Amino acid sequence: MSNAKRFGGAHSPDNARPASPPPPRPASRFSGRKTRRFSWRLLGLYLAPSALVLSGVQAILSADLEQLLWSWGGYGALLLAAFLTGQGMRAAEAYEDRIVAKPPAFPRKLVAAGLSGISVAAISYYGAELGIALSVIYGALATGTHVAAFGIDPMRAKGGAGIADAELDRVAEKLDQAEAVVAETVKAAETLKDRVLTKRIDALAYAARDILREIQSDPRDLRRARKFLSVHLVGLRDATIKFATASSKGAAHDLRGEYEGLLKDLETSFAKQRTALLADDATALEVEIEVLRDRLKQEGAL
Amino acid sequence: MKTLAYIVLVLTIGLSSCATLIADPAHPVAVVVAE
Repeated sequence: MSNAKRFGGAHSPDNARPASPPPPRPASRFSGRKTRRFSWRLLGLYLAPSALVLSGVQAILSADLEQLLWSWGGYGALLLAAFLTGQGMRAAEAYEDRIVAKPPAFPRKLVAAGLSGISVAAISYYGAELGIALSVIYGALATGTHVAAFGIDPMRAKGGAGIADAELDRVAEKLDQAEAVVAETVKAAETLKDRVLTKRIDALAYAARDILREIQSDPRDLRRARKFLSVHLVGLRDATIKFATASSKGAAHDLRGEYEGLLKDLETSFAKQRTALLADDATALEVEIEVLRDRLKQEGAL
Repeated sequence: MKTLAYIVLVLTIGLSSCATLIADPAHPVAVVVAE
């Protein structure tokens, strides 16, 4: 009899696969977090009207109040337009990231385009004394090119097909609140100055965002995930904030064991929640296939 | 197309702002341009 041991590991073909997929783990503590992109285009919009500052200084030196008003007023309006453009770009990115999303309540890019046009027309008329026709043409050119370069704001709600508008609003609101709770938890964890705990909380935040994405992809999951959203997530945030406060006062030593126990419970609970949502999707798909096959049989296609 | 529109937009804002300086006949830049 040979003492040789058969070669094989967890990923060998003969070994059975686990019944449910393992919960996703973050590749790094930045996984799932949003990045803030720097935009050269936006910087250009802020810098383009800089000559108006000099015009305003010149107005002060020559004690010309009217010139001061249109030059610095126009500069302020163009800066506001650039700011709104940046906000509009961020809102559009957030809309693109979401599977279920409402359009932004305030159309920032369109207002920015209109404001740019009015400002350029006013500056051309009062400052450059170009005449009304040419000023209006420049204003229209600024508005048109702004729309062409930066686009317009999203106008329609997306995702959630077959769901009433009021329900869609409720889902979007709940998801926004949940995202905010996760962000507050991560922020509180950063003040802990404890790499092990911070890493565990980051992993939980990653798992939570994964569950939120799952709810986004099928808003009907919201009802099943109510406890997760209102009890588990909020509980994690509150406990983390309290633990961080106690830690900053040096009183967290006795609470650490309890807090770690809570994290362990939540890790299990989050994994169960995700598996339950995925299993529900699988069940829904099975039912759909069953119904379709029955129909095909009835129609004699099978 | 977007890049072209952006360049035209920045030029429109920039040149209309600069034109306010040149429009004043007493400004040194306007004097140089006039000469």
